[in-house]
Amino acid sequence: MEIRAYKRSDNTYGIRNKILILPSVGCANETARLIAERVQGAVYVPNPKGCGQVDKSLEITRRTLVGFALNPNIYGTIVVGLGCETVQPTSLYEQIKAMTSKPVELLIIQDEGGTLNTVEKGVRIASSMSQEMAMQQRVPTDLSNLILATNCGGSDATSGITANPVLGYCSDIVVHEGGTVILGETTEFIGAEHILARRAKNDKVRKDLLQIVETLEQEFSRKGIDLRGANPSPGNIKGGLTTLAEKSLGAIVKGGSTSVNQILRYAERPTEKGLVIMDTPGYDIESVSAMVAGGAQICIFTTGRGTPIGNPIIPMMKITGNPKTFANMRDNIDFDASSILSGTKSVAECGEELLNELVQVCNGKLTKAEAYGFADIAIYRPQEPWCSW
Amino acid sequence: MATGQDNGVYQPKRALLLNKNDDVAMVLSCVSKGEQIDIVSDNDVVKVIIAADDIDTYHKVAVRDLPHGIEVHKYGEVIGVTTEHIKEGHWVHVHNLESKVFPVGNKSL
Repeated sequence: MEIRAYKRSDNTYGIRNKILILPSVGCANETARLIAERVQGAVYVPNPKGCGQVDKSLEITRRTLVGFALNPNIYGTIVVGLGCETVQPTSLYEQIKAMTSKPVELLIIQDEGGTLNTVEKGVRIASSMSQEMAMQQRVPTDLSNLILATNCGGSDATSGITANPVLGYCSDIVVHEGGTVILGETTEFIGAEHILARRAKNDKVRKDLLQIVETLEQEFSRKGIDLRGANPSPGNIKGGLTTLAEKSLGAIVKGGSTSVNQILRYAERPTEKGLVIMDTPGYDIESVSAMVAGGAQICIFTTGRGTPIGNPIIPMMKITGNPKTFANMRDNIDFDASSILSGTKSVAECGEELLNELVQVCNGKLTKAEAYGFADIAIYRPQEPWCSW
Repeated sequence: MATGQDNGVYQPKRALLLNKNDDVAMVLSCVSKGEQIDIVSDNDVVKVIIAADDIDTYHKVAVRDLPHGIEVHKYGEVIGVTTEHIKEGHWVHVHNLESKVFPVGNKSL
């Protein structure tokens, strides 16, 4: 199945053409924002932290930032650092440089002599990149070069029988066409992990999968955390979902029915094609951000109750199977799968329509969240003990 | 969607049974206590029950008597355990069903 995309110098294919202004620390966010606002095609991704980070939290932040720069939708990156932060801007820049032949530049606010000097230099570099980027034409390629992120948020009892299976139909086709599909949200494997484990490509994948679920369960148990109230969320419960297992059983079908080929850490890039699982949190913005860092060029996001979120690097297509939600939140939702509940369309018929929409969005059609310029980003960080509460 | 009274012809409310062995079905519209519910599986009405509670749209109804402490199935899989005896036609939700996976202390989620 053909899509038209921008071929990058590192042989990946982007479905959007963007320059990434990437702060290595929260302290550089506002300076980075000023650069991005002045240059057409530039996006900035606010860094929620980047300093005062240790261990896994630091590793995850670094991996995510590098992943953003490597995302195929990004033409080139300007790292904007402060200078004294834990995520050292020079090493972040060098790490990105070592992994891609795409343009990468570095500006350090403390070395440039403050915000205005940094912005002036940054705008010069970014606008020059923008001019070159504009020369790129879309070329034909196919779904084998696509990484599709899947996510669900604000689920209700319709999600598991409408939007998620419709997305699952699409996921199977992307996999069949040689592409990659990422299924995440580890909390929502709990109670359904035996189904995914049965589909593991080999024993290692099966063990890796069961391990991420077990580790999470143990962590909750160890800390004595009662998930009720968080998952299922109050909205899930109001929407008819009673238990986490019930939510999970409905959630995993969005990844389709093919074999599970790899288990990835948060923000890790897949080395296998087909269906892969990423260990991400249930909080949607953190989960989608991880898949963007993993190289997904597009996300199909299913929702029961409706959500407006978008991402600065990739388009997020929203789909619901709840007719009231579609009517109520038409401004935020791209695709209506409620004809399954009314019995007028089958999952396959709806799935084919969603696939067509996916191809159109890949080819440049803007999603509703893109049209609004929505750019939500969050990077998961395991709790760090920096103060009492 | 069934609306109860449609063109003067009585339209029974419907609930979807996602797997033929399931213990619960999902009502497709708001149901009032005493109303008839057609339980639909693969477009066929496989059973008719009477609602014993008011049940909100897309929530679950018990399609048979479910004794206290037994596993409840939806999608053909276990979604939790009953915390009381639930009779056919009753609303099944957080007040009478708990997840069996992943207990915390003596609670379960």
